[in-house]
Amino acid sequence: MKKTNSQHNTNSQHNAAGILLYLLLGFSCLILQGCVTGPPTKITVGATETIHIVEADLDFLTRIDTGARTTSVHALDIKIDNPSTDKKDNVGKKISLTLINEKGEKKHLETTIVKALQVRNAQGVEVRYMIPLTLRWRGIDKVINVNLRDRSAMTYKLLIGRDWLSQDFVVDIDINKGSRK
Amino acid sequence: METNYKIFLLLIILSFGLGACAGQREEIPAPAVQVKEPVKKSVPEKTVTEAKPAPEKAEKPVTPTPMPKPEPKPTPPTTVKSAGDKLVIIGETEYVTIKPNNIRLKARIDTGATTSSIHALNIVRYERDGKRWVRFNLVSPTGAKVKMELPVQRIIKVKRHGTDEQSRPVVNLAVVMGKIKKTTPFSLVDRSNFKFPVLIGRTFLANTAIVDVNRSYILSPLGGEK
Repeated sequence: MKKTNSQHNTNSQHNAAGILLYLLLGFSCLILQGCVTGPPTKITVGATETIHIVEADLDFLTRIDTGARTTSVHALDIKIDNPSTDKKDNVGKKISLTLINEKGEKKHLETTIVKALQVRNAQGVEVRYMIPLTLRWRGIDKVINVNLRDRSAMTYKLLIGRDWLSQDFVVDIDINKGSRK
Repeated sequence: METNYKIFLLLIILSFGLGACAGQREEIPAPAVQVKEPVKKSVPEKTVTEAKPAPEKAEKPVTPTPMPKPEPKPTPPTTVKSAGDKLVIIGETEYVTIKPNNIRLKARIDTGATTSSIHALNIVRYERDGKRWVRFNLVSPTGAKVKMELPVQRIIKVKRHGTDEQSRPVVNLAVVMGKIKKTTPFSLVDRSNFKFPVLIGRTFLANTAIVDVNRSYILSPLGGEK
């Protein structure tokens, strides 16, 4: 009687230890899973979005382009204070320009060149100036360096690149399909 | 006495475990809602931590858990409930395998492009039985040329300022990317000057994938099957 009891005891001890181990393993896995994958905190955007440039107080219909590293905006009448022929030497100088959206609405802007970006595309290599702009989308403000380009021929006067998407957004091209008119 | 103590301990741990389980269950749906409604203003607390989620790996060790209570079965982290229900999350770059020769190439995911395109050489258009065909070479990562012959679906005229108008034949190619298998149009173009021989455009992505530019090569490079 006593013997069987003790046997039972050791057995249950054994079981308990085993279950404990399993539990510990299981939970550490669960916890790890929670930590590693985490909840998807990123916000989804479509292939086209309307984004507001705060400095110019203008709305732009934009194309979200994961193929583009940097964001690009349609700018004309670019004038640089005391310009140098080498575009790289103009970094830090004052620049004045006109931003134009797809409706033809214009805003004059004065700011400072923060970078001269070398862009390589199918047409060859060109250097574009970059200025910091505040892009507002659904109440979220993001300040990024946007490169200036004559986008007269393009449908979207503001092209959103990976720099804006970075950290915060993922792209689902199936949403906002109706927004492109 | 000792055993009692141990059983007691076990009970505590068990109840704790149940609590943890319940807690997790509550947590799971929350992010899905957040993704659905992007109105929520937030600077995500998680930034770089997501670099290596390896969901398949994470799920495997969970299976041996002998919990009598079933797992909350979290929604697989590779998918996000958004427009469609089972959209795969892919990185800004992924490997694609071109069938039937299984050429594995690096692809840039480009939501700015309508049609996908692929690097091809010696593109020759001809007619067969009154239909437009094209013969061309794909270039494997080792530089080997792979002969292909396919019917032309259509011709894309590409107008870019500064260059002459280009016309590119479009063919349907069977491709595999992770678990995604598709026969989808690709325009044939000499992309010798580009880092990525394949560009994946919106026609491929439609109803299929969500792009996360913070990540790259998330999907299995072997494309799910040989």
